[in-house]
Amino acid sequence: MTFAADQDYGVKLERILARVQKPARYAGGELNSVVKDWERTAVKMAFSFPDVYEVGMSHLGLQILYHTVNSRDDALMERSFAPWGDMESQMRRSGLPLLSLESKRPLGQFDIVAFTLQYEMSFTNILNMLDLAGIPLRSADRGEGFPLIIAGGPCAFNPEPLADFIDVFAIGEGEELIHDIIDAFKAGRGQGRDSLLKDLAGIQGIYVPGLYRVLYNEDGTIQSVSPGVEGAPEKVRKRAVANFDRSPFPERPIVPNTGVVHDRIMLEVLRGCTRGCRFCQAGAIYRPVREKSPGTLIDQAEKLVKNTGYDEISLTSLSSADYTGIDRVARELLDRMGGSGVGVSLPSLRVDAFSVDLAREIQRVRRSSLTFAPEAGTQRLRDVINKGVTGENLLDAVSAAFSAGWQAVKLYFMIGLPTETMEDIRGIAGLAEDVLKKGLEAGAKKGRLKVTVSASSFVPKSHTPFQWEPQNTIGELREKQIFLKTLIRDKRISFKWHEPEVSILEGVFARGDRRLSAVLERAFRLGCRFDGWSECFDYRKWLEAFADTGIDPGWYAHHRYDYDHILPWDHIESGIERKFLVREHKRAMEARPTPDCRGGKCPACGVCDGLGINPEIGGGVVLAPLQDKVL
Amino acid sequence: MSLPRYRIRYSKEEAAKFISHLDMLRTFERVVRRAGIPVSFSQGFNPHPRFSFGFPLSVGVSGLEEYVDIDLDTEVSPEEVAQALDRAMPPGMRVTGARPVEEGAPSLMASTERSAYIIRADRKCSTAGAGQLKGCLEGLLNSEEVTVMRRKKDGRDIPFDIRPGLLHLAARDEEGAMVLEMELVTSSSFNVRPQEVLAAITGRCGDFGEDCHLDITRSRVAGDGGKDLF
Repeated sequence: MTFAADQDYGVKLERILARVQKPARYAGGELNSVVKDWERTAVKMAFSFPDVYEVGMSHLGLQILYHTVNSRDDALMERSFAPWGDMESQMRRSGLPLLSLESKRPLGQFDIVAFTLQYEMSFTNILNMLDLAGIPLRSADRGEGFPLIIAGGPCAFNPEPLADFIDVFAIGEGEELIHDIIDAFKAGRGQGRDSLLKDLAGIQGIYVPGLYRVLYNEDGTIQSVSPGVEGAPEKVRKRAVANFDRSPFPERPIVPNTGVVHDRIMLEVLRGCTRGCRFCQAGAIYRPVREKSPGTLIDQAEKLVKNTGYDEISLTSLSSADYTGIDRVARELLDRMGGSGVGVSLPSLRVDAFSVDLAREIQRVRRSSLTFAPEAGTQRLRDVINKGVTGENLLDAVSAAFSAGWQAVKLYFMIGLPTETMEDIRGIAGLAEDVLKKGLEAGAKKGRLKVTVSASSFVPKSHTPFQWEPQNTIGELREKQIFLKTLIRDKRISFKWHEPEVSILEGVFARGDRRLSAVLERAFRLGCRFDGWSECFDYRKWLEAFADTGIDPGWYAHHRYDYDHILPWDHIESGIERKFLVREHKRAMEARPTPDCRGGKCPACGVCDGLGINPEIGGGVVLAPLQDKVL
Repeated sequence: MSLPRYRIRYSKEEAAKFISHLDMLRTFERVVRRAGIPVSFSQGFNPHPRFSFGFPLSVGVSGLEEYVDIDLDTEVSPEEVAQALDRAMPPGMRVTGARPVEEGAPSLMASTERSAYIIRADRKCSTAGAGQLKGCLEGLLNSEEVTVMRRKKDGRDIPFDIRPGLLHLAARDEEGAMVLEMELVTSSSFNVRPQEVLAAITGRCGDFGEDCHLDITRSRVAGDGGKDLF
């Protein structure tokens, strides 16, 4: 019976694929994809990525969880992605529900549908995917018989805007937590949805938003967030894996049949970052820092090349140049693989000459330009954000780049940072000119020398020292962009910026509460999709959605919270103590930097003690002087 | 002394039929690396294995006997090459043979002259039976000129005579579908696509346009006068 029905879905899909662009996005059947025996597998999960295939397949987290779940005999994981507009209209026209790529089954037939939250502007795609699957959007409208809808990833650290739609949030790293979820699902099967949700709420790292009540003050701030049932914790603490070196890593990742954004081996060399940039959420939520051992990396790299046939190994992490002995490991990899035409690359460079020398030495395939992120234009502002980079570092780095033969350099900055003045904007233009000068001094070819200044807009994020800070208004951001544009006169310097409207919406959802669920649903009904794609983003529809629901986006984006306010995400714990964030915020206001704990001085963020996981450095050598807690 | 060249015969079906011609190069680069055969790399800053493909297969069209020529650094037995590649192919693709290519032989692209296609068209596309369909196809073969619109690279549609490219056309009934068989010229200087033949009979024998589902398979690729390329 079901077999015949599934055949029908496959046939219908096949017909549609003849009419859409890039059908390989929806066809599945890639090398190393896993199709298990549906009837004989107890727990069926769908990993749902709320963006197109090419973006989703570039996400290492998908490959890790796919491998982790499919390694179990009693569970399977298949994939689904957000269909692009042409596919969506074909699907709606022919009544084809959203299918998994592996067995071509509608998402509604799975036990668990798991979304990853990588970016606020993908939230409407989640609603669209549920809708295309015929699954009611709101958790409260889903009775027995619908899949459990779960979500994890960095944006789950402020899950509130999605609270009405998602049954269960998974906070933190998923390698172990996903097993706990599957086990609880198996154990609670047949006992009803409410019972399952209560069981799950007892697991560390699980947040069941429907079990919590939020009360508001008259000024719109939060009065209290409290669990409504026994067993649901006051605070939900994130999960992180200990012994990262031995944690599951996909040695047979899926190899896409079509070009994707990161079309290479992604070898994760370390997790976490201790640099402590005060705007950076990733640096906060992925602590503590844990490195894989060189032996593990070389072993995994060899297997990955053999099992995928890729010709490039990207050493990925938040800051790969920080890996202890990165140069030795990179050289060893090149020595072993270089003969078969396999190259090694670094996804991002630290702002120093060491990184440039390393890139020069290891990168067989030369990217045409090198990218650095000084983030701010003056030393004062770089100290405010704790970037830990000086103008001298930058000039050393670009000098090394120019003398190594690179002609083009990209510089990433942020505008709208806390305490920023027009002097800091002027500093961006000044740095760009200094960089250009270094290029001329190094004798870069005239006509080829190019400096690109890319300025994104600061978005305050939860769990960072800047979580209390207001975001600049669209008008302020626009004014700074125009000012910077007028300062950049040299034709060899080009200037790129982000649309402030998108940044403001990012800010609204990054710090929003659960009243925003109504806005998301309304925006979806008005047709918002792929809001992170400039060709799809429609700000007027968003303004309409806010107006229709009586919610002021400006209040969320530009609100300055006090230290004693209850923040919408205060019941979610990253492990970093609030008093550390307060201290860091105060130090920021005094432009006082805080050193990296890799240097041996512990700034007492609270993560290691709180989670009971120590930093894992250099493949097992643990940082010793943690007793020195006073700065 | 030139490098030993091997002609690989392979099939491309199921999900693999959606791999575009552009992505095939990337696919084969990975296949040869997984297979561990001593493929020869081009010289230069960004070395690539040396492959040469035949006439491209459109996205969504299955191929039963496709070819690619590969240069190796050292001689390996063709059976070994075929086996190693077959084991390394992605799902939906199989290697069905390998043979050495003699030195100085023309390239695959230059050797290819014609392709045979089998097209399964939905009943919905046409109410015409095989007999009537045959009549329509014969009508094409009896015409001096068969003009269809062809899209140029700049997006303009211009009239184009496909008659010189029609070698053989036939039709038969199958359960739930009509099967058309075509042999068309697919050389580097002139080619006809099966959809163009269907466009030429649309209106007379049904509507093979937008809403008609076609399952197209290229069953064979051959050289001058139908000579085997393998």
